[in-house]
Amino acid sequence: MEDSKQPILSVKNLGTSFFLREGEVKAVDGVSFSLNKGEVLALVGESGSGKTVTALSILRLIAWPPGKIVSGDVNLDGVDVFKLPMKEMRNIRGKGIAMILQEPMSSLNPSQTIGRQIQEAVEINQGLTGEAAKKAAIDMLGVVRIPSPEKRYYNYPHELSGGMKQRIMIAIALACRPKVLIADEPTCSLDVTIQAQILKLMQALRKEIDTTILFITSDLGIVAEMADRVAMMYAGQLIEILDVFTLFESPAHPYTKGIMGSIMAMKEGGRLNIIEGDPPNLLHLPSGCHFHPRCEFCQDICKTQEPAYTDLDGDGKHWVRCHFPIKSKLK
Amino acid sequence: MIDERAKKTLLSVRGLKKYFPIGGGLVTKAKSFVHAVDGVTLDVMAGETLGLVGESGCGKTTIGRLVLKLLPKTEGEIFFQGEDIYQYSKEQEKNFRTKAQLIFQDSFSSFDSRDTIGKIIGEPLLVHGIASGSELQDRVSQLLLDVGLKPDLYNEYPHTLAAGQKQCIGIARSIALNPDFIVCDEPISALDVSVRAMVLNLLKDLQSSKNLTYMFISHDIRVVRWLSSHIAVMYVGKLCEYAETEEMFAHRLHPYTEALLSAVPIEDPRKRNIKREILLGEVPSPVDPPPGCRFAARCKLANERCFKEDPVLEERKPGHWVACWENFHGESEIS
Repeated sequence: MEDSKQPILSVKNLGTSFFLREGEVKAVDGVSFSLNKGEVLALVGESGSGKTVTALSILRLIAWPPGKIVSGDVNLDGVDVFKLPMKEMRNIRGKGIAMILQEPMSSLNPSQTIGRQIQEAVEINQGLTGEAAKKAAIDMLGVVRIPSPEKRYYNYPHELSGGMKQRIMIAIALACRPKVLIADEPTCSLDVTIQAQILKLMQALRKEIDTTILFITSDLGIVAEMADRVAMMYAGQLIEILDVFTLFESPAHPYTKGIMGSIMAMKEGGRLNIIEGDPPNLLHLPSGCHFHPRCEFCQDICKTQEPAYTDLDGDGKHWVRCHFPIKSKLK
Repeated sequence: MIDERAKKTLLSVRGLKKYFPIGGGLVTKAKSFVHAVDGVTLDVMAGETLGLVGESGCGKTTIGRLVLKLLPKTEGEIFFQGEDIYQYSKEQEKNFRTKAQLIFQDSFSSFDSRDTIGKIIGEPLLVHGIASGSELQDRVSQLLLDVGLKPDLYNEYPHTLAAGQKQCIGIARSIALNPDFIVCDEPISALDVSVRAMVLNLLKDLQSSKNLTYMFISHDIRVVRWLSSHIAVMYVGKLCEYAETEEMFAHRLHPYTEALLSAVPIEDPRKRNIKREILLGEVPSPVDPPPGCRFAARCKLANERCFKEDPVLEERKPGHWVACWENFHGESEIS
């Protein structure tokens, strides 16, 4: 699953489980991918497929009990993140990997001005103090296109709209000058015109500051606009990694194909293809390939044997976890 | 080809207003009002689907509740099959409750979790005295089949079902009384992508098999386009534009429609750099809004008149209505 370029973040065989009274929930199970400098990788999947847990695991933010990282390695620019003592994780979180969370409303401190909150990130991660830190914080407000930043510096979160709050979250994350930015559904609570503003901002910032982004989303329209490569998740596993153009032309996993087919049908106004059934209960995962009960191409081997990752074209660009990957193009 | 029935107006809304008071009580008067719906006029023809789109707080859901008489109106008139729903006799009112139904965003939370699926779906039939006993059971089994579920779910409880199936139970319940009109309020927003397709296909199938008329409320414009024959765009309590779906996508005559439609991410990576209209600023507050066009503060074309006078909804082309003082034509490339 390696590209020729040196990846800035590589995740290998990551496994995170939650140990509940009812049993072990493998929220993330053997996930491996890498991010090259300057690229945007979209992590796509339905709710409960393990996207957010993957991100939190990379930052070692899984609370025990009940959650635990049970396997894997994360390498950030040469540093073996999982081998660091917990104390040193402070240097990774923020400066190494910063994260923009889904809900800006509940992630900001309501009793501090937004300027102060950005300044804190500047002080810790850029080593600035006093007036210099304040100026840097005001500059960051300008970077995320907040009008009259000098005044806004003194606003409290409740005085801002949802879109503005999400801009503040982006400003805080970028103030850390991170090597990798993780954006966890940054627009899912926003209206569509505000979403367009935030996406445009992130596209522009990506060019300006050359950030590497892991973009978590379940909206394939956003994937089409933002991503270079796409990693598809299903029931805690990565089932396909491919570049965004291939995703929209010839996805190979039956699940990916089903979802993409449905989207294409919606565009054309025809009847939508259906993937029968529901996403599986992680407490009672199906044997073999986790997708087999819903798969129209299911054979006996799919019920007993978990498929391995296959390099579809032999060039290391398109990986799929399926016994019978589909070779044909989308209609 | 022209079906006479299909050309009949089922629902007619004239100058509908709904203001919610802020503060105030038994003695004191409310000082300000949320203008949730502020003078909306529209028609829904029998057999068609009207997609109601707009951003959160624009009054979509309030309209849905008003036309079902689940909220008292502040002003205006609502005619259902030609009759004013506020002039109904008790008998007519009861009949209206069978003819007009609602599908919720999260059906599951609208069920009593201690009831079996059979009871949930059969309840409207029982309440209206339409069926009981074994006949009721047969009707419910048929309804389960109609929504693509197995009749042996009758004695199960809804929590045992998956999200998509729960929504199907909600749909079965709302079609139990053979309604003519259903308001679908964000019926798929809570569902995962792979499950949405099933519910959407079901809604389309039921529409043709049961000759239903929908008011489909959603913030997802891609879904609205797929399902609706007509679209009405709302902005802060007002109707901006109304037209047949494909006419609307081909010719946007209101600057807000243009911004709204081109803000939808295009599901084609080859088109990511096309020209599009990115709207600046935020949706204004619906509390005691200033006079003039609600959109003026964010509109590039706004002139003095737009800030003073409320634009009137006018039929600029046959069947294509718009409320804007300017002569705007959208030029963004929309997928």
